[in-house]
Amino acid sequence: MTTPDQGGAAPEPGWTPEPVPEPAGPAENATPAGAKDGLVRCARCGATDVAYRPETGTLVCEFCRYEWTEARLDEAMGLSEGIADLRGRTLSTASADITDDETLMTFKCSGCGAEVVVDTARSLQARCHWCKHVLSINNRIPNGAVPDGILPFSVTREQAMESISAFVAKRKSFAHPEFEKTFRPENVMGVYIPYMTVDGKVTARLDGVGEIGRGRVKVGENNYEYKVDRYAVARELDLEIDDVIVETSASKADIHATESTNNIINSILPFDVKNIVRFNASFLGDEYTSERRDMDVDHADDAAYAHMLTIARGSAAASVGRYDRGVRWEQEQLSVTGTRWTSVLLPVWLYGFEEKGRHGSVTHYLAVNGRSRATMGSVPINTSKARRVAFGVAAAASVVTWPIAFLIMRGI
Amino acid sequence: MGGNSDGSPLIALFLFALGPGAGVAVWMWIQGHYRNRSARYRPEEVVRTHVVDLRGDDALVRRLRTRSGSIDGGNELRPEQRARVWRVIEAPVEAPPEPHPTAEDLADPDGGDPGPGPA
Repeated sequence: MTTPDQGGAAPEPGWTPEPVPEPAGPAENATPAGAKDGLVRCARCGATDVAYRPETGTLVCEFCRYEWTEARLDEAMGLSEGIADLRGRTLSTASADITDDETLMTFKCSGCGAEVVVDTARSLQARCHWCKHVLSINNRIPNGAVPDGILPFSVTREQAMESISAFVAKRKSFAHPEFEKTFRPENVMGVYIPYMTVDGKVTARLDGVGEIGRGRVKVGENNYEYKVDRYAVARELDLEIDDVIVETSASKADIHATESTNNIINSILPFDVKNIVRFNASFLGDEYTSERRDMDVDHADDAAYAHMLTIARGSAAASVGRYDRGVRWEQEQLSVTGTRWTSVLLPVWLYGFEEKGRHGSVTHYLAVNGRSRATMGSVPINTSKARRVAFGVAAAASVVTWPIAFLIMRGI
Repeated sequence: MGGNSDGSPLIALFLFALGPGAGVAVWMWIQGHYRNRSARYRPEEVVRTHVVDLRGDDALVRRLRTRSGSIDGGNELRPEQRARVWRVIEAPVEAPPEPHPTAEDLADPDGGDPGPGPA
């Protein structure tokens, strides 16, 4: 297979190179208009106190109890369609590059004219100190804090507390004493974490070696030699991938980090992203916080492409079943024809514990998927107790097995 | 070293290793059960994927004999583990062509936007 960067034969004398087309910038998949910024009033009574009701997945006016919800992004932006036609990068309005890192944004309250500061690193709403109206930021701002869509929590705080309590209850015997002493499930926090959903039209090429066993022959007393047919194996797959999810908060993106157990948050994916709705800051309310996206598509694309290669490898697995001794993939290549990126906030119930050690500290997370209630966690270990028990088991087993081994060695 | 049967030394070695092995197994179980270091997103299982086409090209390279019971470095069951060499090629997208000037544009320079110029 020839690839663009493999080069080719030297040009003939007098050969004039064809002009190379300039690559175009990313196309935009415009996010539909949602609620405006500033004061968002109830369509029925005009109040600005709007709350999110997780039981019904709707926004509700605190005064007249009028209920509504936002448009589903999947339908509004056609995110399940046209994957076969993707060419180059298509970015939604809110997944455009971050151009300003300032997180404190000042707004003029349209209720009373006062200036209100919103800390967009933690929330996208603030209450005016003077007239008590609530101001919201619902549309793209340059620092990446506002996404295209949001998947509202459907798992309640009580359910999340129950889930992490049950998880920890099964891991008490060797839990770190400080963790056990301070564990309070009610401290679990509802956090909207920034992600991007990525659709892709790609071709994956896998090259490797596969082996088929053809029997074995006894060699010496206890050894065997295996007769093997070795094959060069290649697979090429054209794939249309719908909704890979990648982290876009730098503090959570490295799942191999030594200072925090980010893989725990990563492992509660996926979410039912088809139910994402147009972003409205009222979904955050007072109960939930949000993290700001601080990674652009250029920083998140490596993770997305690695996931796509993982998918390609998974998709090819059934086709190499005949290699009963296994396959060693040695080269993988992903040719990306087109991708489509959408910026979203996804709901996670998160409990953190910082374990301080001699070589620095580690933040352990317990995480509950705010939609499916999938739960995963890292419980810090009482290492000295675990060592004692492991050593005790080794010693107890050896007390029984070693005398027998000595007897065998002596030929009795 | 004595022994009254062919397998005795191996059995003895196994029994010697059994105790320490049990200790290591307990340690590993505690680490796995409490820390969950291998927990991760599994896109190969949960992401909706349409395989439009799958082509294969397998060729017998050689027949051999080996002491190993399985292929060395087999990784087909660990799709998240990248191969020794991997790369990504993003196909460039051509910019739309510049609009060609019409005969009218060329014939009547005063008819269009005069553009910046000396006053």
